[in-house]
Amino acid sequence: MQTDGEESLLHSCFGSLKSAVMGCCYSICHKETDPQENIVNERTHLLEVPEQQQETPSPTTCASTPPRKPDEQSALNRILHETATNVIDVGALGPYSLEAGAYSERVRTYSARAAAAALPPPARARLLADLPPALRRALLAAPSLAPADRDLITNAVKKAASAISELRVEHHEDLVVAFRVP
Amino acid sequence: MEKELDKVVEEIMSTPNVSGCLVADHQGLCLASKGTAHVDSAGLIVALSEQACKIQPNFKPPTVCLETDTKICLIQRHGTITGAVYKQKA
Repeated sequence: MQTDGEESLLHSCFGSLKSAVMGCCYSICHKETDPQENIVNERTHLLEVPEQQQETPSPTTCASTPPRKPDEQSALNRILHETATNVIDVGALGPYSLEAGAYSERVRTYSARAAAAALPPPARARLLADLPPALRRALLAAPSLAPADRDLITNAVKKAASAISELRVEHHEDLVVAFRVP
Repeated sequence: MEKELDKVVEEIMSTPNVSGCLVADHQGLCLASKGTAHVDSAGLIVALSEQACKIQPNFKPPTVCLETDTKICLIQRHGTITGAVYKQKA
């Protein structure tokens, strides 16, 4: 059971708390009615942003691109227009076909011209031609390679191989030299 | 560096009836060519000798002989070097 002294103490605490809370509420609620107040409190704006800029951009940002990149947008538009003028839309040209009469006429003209300028078909160059069988048999039966020729080529290649194996770089002077900068 | 090789090629050329000589490495690079032998034919000659070696792989490299009525071309391989000798038919 609380005593009277404690009760009165509690009352005074509650009273001061109530006045503090009410004071805060007052400062929040009555901010608009005291705009000319020059007192710097927790509610003063750090950056003085004018009211109009905060209001107007919001409806326009949804509709178009942000105005802070106008050059990029104009460049893109320019490129788009250039491409559009240069594009040839083949699909939109429409079906093109040769009439049957025109086609047959052309066939006749071209074949007449080709016949007039008739060239013999190009003869394929033939280096190797088959020998008649008799000659073939005779050649294959004959001794293939003269021993002298065989020795010639064998010795030649052996000597060449040994000569190449002796291939080496002759060192005459140094490749890397120091710059003698005084 | 190639003085030795040049000497060998000269020696081959001095043989009677020889009109051309060519030496190439295993990749077809022409190392030496003289007389009627053309530099560009090195690759072809090496390829021919390579294919010829495949006929009997276990034997030593065969000699390839290309013949016309008047001339012959002898091709042979020794190790990595392929040599060709162009000769008039005796």
